[in-house]
Amino acid sequence: MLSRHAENLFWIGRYIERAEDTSRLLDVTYHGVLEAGSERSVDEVWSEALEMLMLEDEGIEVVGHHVGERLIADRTEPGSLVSTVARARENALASREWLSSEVFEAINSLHISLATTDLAHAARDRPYEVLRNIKTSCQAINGSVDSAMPRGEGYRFFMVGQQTERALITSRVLRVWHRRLGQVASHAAFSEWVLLLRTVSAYEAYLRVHRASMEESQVLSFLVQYPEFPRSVNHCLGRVESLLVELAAGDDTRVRRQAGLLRSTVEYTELGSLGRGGLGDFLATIESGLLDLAESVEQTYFRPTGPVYLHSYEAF
Amino acid sequence: MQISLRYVTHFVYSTPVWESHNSLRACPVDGDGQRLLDYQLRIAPDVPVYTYTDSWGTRVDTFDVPQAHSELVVTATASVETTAPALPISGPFSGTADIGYIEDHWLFLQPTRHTRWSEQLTSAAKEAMYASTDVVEIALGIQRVVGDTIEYRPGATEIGIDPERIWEERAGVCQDFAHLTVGLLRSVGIAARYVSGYFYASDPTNAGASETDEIRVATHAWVEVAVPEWGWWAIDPTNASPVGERHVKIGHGRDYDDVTPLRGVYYGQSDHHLAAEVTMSTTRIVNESVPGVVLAAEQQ
Repeated sequence: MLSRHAENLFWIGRYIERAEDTSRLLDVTYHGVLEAGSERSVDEVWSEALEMLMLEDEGIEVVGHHVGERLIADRTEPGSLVSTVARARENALASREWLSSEVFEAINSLHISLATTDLAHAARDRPYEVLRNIKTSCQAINGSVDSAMPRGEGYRFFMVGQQTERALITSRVLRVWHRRLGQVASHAAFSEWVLLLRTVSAYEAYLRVHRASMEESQVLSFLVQYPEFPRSVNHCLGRVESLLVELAAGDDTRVRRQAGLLRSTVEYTELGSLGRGGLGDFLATIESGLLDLAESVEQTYFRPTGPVYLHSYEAF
Repeated sequence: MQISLRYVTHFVYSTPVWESHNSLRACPVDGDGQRLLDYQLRIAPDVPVYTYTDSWGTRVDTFDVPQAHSELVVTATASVETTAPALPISGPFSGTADIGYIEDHWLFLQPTRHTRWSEQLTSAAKEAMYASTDVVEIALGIQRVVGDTIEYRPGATEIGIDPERIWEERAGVCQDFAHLTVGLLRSVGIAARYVSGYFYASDPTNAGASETDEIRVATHAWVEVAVPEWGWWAIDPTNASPVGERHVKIGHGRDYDDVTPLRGVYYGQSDHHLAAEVTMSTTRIVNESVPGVVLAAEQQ
């Protein structure tokens, strides 16, 4: 397939995943503010949310719930949900022939529903409803991709984007959370762990494995290493690695080895032996490793290295 | 005569290229005194092929290789039954001034990039007419002049050289013989077209039998002359003989550009290196090899 279509699909995968994760994170943040009580200010909670979304350097002013409204409905804010969905839809429009009509229509209706309602109002008055709608729409899009998209290059690039973004969000959320807990107390309250797990949709899955015992090492290990939880960094990287193997079609690519190395580090590092400071560094390493990996995917598949010419030839 | 042939072009790029778009004109025409029995095309990397017939009646196979690739192999195999065409006895030169003749053959009377003529070429053609009033005789005379003037030398010219230079260089390959002949014929008002095809002979300048049955050749080119009151008559200026059973026609056009066997474009950083080969036989072709390509870096 042409590299611009591959790039579009990679980014549709990333944007849809990001929209889903952002709506979940915002939803949990709204709740978290209610539950935080007097220990933390509303502004503190929201600045942390910005950091988890990698938007801390965007110059967004933190004034209570107003941040949440902007992150949902502000079209001038590139990281907002409405902008993210709009970009996913632009890419889908440009590579429409690579998507089934169901997938395209699902992306398009999500975009239209955000564009036609008075989103700023809705975000202020009933954020939960808006966020839930976006989240379920994203799940529907991923569901149609899963059930109807042929397992060719297009699907693989979409999935590489989706899985990379998912791993990034999980690791980023963990890192920010871990840093705060390190500053506050060695043992966080039960409700804090519940919020963290719910941010990455892991609460119920965690309970099934560990019952109600909330220990830092168990929670971290679950979100980083647990292979059977589809949002753990390890699981996502495993998917990315095998997708890159399929995309390489028999060749040994550098980007595949990079993914494999990062996955091994994530899978085989003994978290218990790292200590508090070491753990923070480890989470930062994973995060920068994931960013490098996403960059390598772009360099390998979407960007030519050096000048490119159009050649013509004749042969007889 | 039943002839089997295998056309292979092998491209090697020193760094991967992508988005290559190609069109191939290698399929023998079904008609014009020959019958196409079988034609198959294989592309590596394996990509879909779309086929159409162009306005000259030539089958064109087009294929795109969008993904990055460092090699491309195009293999066409065909089998064809040829017959020796009837030869014209005569055709009045006055017939070429007939408005019907001019209208019917308008495109084949015009100069093109590869067949344009100068004063010098026109006077050479006029000399070759020997004051004859018969198109068949004139065409044979022009063919003789071309044969006397230029010497067959493989690799003497590159694609797209114009007739004026062929005339000065006094050397060329079959395309140059054909282009010059077409140009000279058109310069005196005789309609002529360029033919691309295959020639079953180990030496393109000798129409005699080849030593072995399976031979390796290159694509060939010859000329068709519109003889008034008779029709298209094929002559082969490279070996100064009529076109016979050993000629397998792919198609015709105003000049080489209309029937280029393989042409295309691609994106990439590297230039291409290619090797082309045609194998012909009157029985089954045994050769299954892909011609090797030597990269410039390895030549040093």
